[in-house]
Amino acid sequence: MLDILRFIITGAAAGAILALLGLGVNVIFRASRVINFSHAAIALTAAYTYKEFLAFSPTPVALLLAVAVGIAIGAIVDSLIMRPLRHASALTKAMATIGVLLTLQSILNIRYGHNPIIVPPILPTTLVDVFGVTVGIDRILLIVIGVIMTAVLWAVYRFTSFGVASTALSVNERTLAALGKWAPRRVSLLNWSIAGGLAALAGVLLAPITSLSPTLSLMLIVPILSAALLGNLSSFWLTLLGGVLIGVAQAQISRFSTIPGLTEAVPFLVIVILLALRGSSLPQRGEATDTLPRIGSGRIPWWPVGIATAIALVMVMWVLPEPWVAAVTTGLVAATVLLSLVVVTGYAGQLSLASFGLAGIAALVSAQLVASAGWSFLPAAIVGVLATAPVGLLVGLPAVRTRGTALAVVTLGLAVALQAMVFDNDIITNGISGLNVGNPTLFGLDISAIFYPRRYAIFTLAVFVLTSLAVLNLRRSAVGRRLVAVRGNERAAASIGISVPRTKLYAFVVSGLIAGIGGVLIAFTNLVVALGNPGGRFDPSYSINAIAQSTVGGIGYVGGTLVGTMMEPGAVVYKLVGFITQGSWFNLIGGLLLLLTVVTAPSGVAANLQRDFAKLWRSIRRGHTRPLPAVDLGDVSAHRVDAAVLRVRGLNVAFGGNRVLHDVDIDVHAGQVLGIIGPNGAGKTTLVDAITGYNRPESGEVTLDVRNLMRLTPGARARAGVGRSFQALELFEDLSVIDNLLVASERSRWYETLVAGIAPGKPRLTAAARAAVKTFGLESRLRDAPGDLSYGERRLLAIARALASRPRVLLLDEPAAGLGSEERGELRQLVRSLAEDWGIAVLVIEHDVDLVMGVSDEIVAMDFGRIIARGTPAEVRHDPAVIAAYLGTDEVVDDAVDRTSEKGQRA
Amino acid sequence: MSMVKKRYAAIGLVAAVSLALAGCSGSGDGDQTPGDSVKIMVFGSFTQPPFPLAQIETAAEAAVTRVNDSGGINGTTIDLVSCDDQMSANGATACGRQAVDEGVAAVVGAFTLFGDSIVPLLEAADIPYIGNVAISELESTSDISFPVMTAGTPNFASTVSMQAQGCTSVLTAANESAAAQSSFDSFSVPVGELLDIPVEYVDYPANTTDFSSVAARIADLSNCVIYGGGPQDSAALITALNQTGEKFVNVALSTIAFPESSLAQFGDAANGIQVLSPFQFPSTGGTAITQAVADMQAVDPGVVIDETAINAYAAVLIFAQAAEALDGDITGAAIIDLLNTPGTTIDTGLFAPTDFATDAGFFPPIPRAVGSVYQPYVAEDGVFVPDGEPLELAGIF
Repeated sequence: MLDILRFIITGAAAGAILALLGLGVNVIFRASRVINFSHAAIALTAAYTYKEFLAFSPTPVALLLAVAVGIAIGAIVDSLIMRPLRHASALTKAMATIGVLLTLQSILNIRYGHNPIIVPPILPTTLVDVFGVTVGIDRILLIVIGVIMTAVLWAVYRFTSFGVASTALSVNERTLAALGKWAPRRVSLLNWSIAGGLAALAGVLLAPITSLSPTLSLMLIVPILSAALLGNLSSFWLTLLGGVLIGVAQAQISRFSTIPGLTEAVPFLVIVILLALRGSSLPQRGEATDTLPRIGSGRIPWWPVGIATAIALVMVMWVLPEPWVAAVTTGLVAATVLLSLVVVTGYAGQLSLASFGLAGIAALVSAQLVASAGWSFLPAAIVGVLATAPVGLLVGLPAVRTRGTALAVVTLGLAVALQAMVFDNDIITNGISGLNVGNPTLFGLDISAIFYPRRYAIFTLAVFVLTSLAVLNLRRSAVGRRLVAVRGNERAAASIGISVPRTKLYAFVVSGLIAGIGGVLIAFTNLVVALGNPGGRFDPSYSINAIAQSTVGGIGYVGGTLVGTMMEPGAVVYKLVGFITQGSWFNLIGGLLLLLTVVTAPSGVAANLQRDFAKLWRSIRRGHTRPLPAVDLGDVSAHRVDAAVLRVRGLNVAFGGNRVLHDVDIDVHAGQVLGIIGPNGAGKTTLVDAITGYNRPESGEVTLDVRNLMRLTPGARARAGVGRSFQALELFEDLSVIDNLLVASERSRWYETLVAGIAPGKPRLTAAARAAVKTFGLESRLRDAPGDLSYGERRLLAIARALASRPRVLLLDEPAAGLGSEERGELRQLVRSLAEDWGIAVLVIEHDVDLVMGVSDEIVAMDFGRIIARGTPAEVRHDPAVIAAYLGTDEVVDDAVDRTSEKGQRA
Repeated sequence: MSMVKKRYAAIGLVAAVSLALAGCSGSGDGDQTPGDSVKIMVFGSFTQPPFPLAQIETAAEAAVTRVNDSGGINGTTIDLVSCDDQMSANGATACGRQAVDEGVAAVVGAFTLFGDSIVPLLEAADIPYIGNVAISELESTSDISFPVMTAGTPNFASTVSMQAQGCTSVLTAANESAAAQSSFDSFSVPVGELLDIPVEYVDYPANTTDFSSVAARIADLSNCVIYGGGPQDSAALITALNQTGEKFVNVALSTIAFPESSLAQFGDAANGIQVLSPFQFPSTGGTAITQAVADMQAVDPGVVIDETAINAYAAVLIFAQAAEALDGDITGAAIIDLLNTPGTTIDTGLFAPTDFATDAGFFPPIPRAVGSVYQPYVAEDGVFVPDGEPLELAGIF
């Protein structure tokens, strides 16, 4: 028992340091929704300066100066980097903090070297007895300081107007500005400064315990972010608890377990599980969708690709000396791994920091098959690549319920666990000796990178080009469009029948396979592949570098992978820069380049190059431009759907303790329009969300014909025939108009998904989509981006997209919002046509009483989550409860009722 | 100026400034020595963590200058080329390829985790690998490899010494890594069995910040600790062990684990930390090591003088003495033959005189290792000073 207590106390002290650092991460996240990967680097920088200040000033002064340095770094990061990026995606902001991390680490390396700097104790180190356990009083004081700092932060952010303003800043900068009391810029600056100061304080307290080394800034990322994540990146008390629990867990595991790597891995695996339980399969309504980096179209520029490949071939075959050929190989291998990030982060929008972990699995399996089982290269390589599929699936599982930068931390944690438990296990990877893979042969030809570097370079070139073509094909395929749809808007993707979890997992598996190809190439580049640390080729730090390289190159562009390799040690640019400098200076240039890229070109160099080349080409071809070929719509007549009846019975929805729907019963019949009216807050959209599976009712039933939908996901309900549109449109802004329709139209067969990289298939619009395009007059806008459309056209596109997925029941959430009177007239005709000509059961939520009364066969009026009236438009119009709650006077709806009569005659 | 132009101008400006800044600290290659000369390569991990051992390069350069200033090898001067493995197998392979391309007569002084990537290239080209720190399998077994210092022999020497100091068990503490675990399995366990002394192993996560719980585990198992981690871990761990209130026999596996630069910062708390080495340290006041230190400091006054530096300096001298003993041309093949043939004793003054052909084999797990005489040192006021008589390890196994 005493033993357990001893390890609880020592573990808690260790955890308190993590918690102190985690508090600063939370300060940043509360105000800006940014996960700061550079927090430990800021802490270390301040701690190093503290050591320097100690040389000429007393300890308290040195401490204050070091905290001032931390505050200054925070303020500089905010002013020069985060402020220009305030409208950028969370992904871009996270990359910026990685840039800060790499830059600070390089500066520390250059300034202080790698040997440890020992810092004298700042706290008393007298030994004390706590419940029979001897422990330094400094450890106890650390816990006390952690509690005090937590209490102070909690009070500041809970009870002061600054704290409220910080939270408001993360939700809506404009609203905060409109309130006038706190300027958003000031709030952001203050939060970054406070976080910098906290980092500095934690760094100074940490320094005497662990001594200082620049590598700590990378090593501490995962435990610090894990503590912060346990606090849900917002709760200071939970962060303190999380840090302490991690420390205690590690201490206990280290004492009682002998499984290699378990101490390092278990806390993070627990976090993965916690986040998965805490997360949701789809974002909540109102969760902001980011402006993401641009991505490529997937079009293959055959001539440039052919010419570039031919030039590269000639260069490695005959022109370049062997050291430069090896540099080309290094670059191509790195670029192949980066292709995996194009798929999972670029196309699918899932920030993965485990790319090299996955590559390592393929390297391990293929190398073991060669080294231990005597397999030849090709079958071992194939099996190695395939072995990444289940691991990719495993890494992707958290993505089902976690998203954004939280997912990045989770994947990084998994990569750390993979390194600690698998790659660092000498029984599996043969320790520092590594696995001897010998000289690979391909169809009898020795392609050893050691003895035939030109042959191996050609092999890697071929693999890279083929993999690149496969990635481009994937982007143009139906599954590629689904990836981009999920990236852009998960809720909207689900509404058209896309299985969001399955699509994400697909991205992780494909990404894993591609990383696996890179891993095999790495494994066979040398005679021996070392997976264990130190020197392990698949350490998580490589994954961080890979995402940095991808960001600089252009994470959504295949061409960006080659640009990204200019930051790859050993590749061509590295060799060129090597004539001037190497090592830390190269890393510093890489860090600065990353910062410069995210601030000036967040989509990456390749995106800008492509845009600028396109401009140049257009100016050259001015007057000779060929119009894009028209899209052949074919048959555009209305297609009747199978008749369906949607029934809702006894539906109750509550958020927290607040009941927002009370025993709602409605029927929506094929060929008819049911209008739902009610004031704001009546529960109309909540009803649509409940029917389509976006919230979880407490009780009640939703059936389509005889099929109970309650246990189905939103995507499955859409596939069953329940389509919807959204108030906020929620179009896929990264897809063209036609791709928005295609992604809703297409239902790939399983084997088409498997071979998407080889055979992307021909795009197929459903008859419903074609008819919708014709009906809505969108023919001339099909090649445009949604952002180029007028607001009215965007509304029509949203409805057309919902129709494209062939719904039998269509729920339209305020379809007329923002439309002009003429467009409203067209919309009215359209909705009637959907019911009468297509046979769709239509439910319309609309504040435009004129429209809803004119278009509906039946009206349901709601207020405070209850149905207060139902009947024909005329009946509802005169219902006293409806008049009191919503309509106000009878006159408001007179015109509408007249139109109802016209509609009845037409029907 | 358009936004696009401005952006590219900004990128260009920052890149240029970065490169200019970087250029200020870059070390340009020295002029090639004209006339009759032989080329050798110093190779190792010079710049990247966890082993940024730039002192290897400095030491080799100092030794080459010393040899050349002393008349060269029978009149032939040495040209030194330098190659950094950048802590990667690719880098090591590239260095091997460069050694072959440049026709070097030897690769000297290496400290690398990727020896198995370079040795086959050197074997194929008959290039001797002299004075390398034997870490990998091929470095420990190849006929072209001539190591004085190894990853395993310090463990052997430390355990022998600790047993002599009355330790009833020996514990190795290192961070969780494949290297540390396999080193323990390959070297500590057979040594423990041979000496009939229990050997324990405590590892800790690489991202450990507070070593209190690690110290508590150690205190439960043994009071005799070998530090096998990096210098930062070792420093933090000793701090934590001091807070357990118990007394420990602390032995650093090498000066890489605990360099004198750390000792000095550590103050009195470092006193008593031991290290065993086949090399003469500056504190011995020996002529050869005093000369070597002066030579190294002439190249770089701030050079870190540790075992890797002394080893690299010695490696150049080994090459020079072997080359001097040759009858004909100085070629790699000739030097390999010579060093593998009994009868050539190398005496640099930096480690005990050695005949590579006959002395190798005293430690069976590393059959190519020589340097069986280990001097115990103990930390006193920031310096490792000799502590007792040298240990002779030959014959114990």
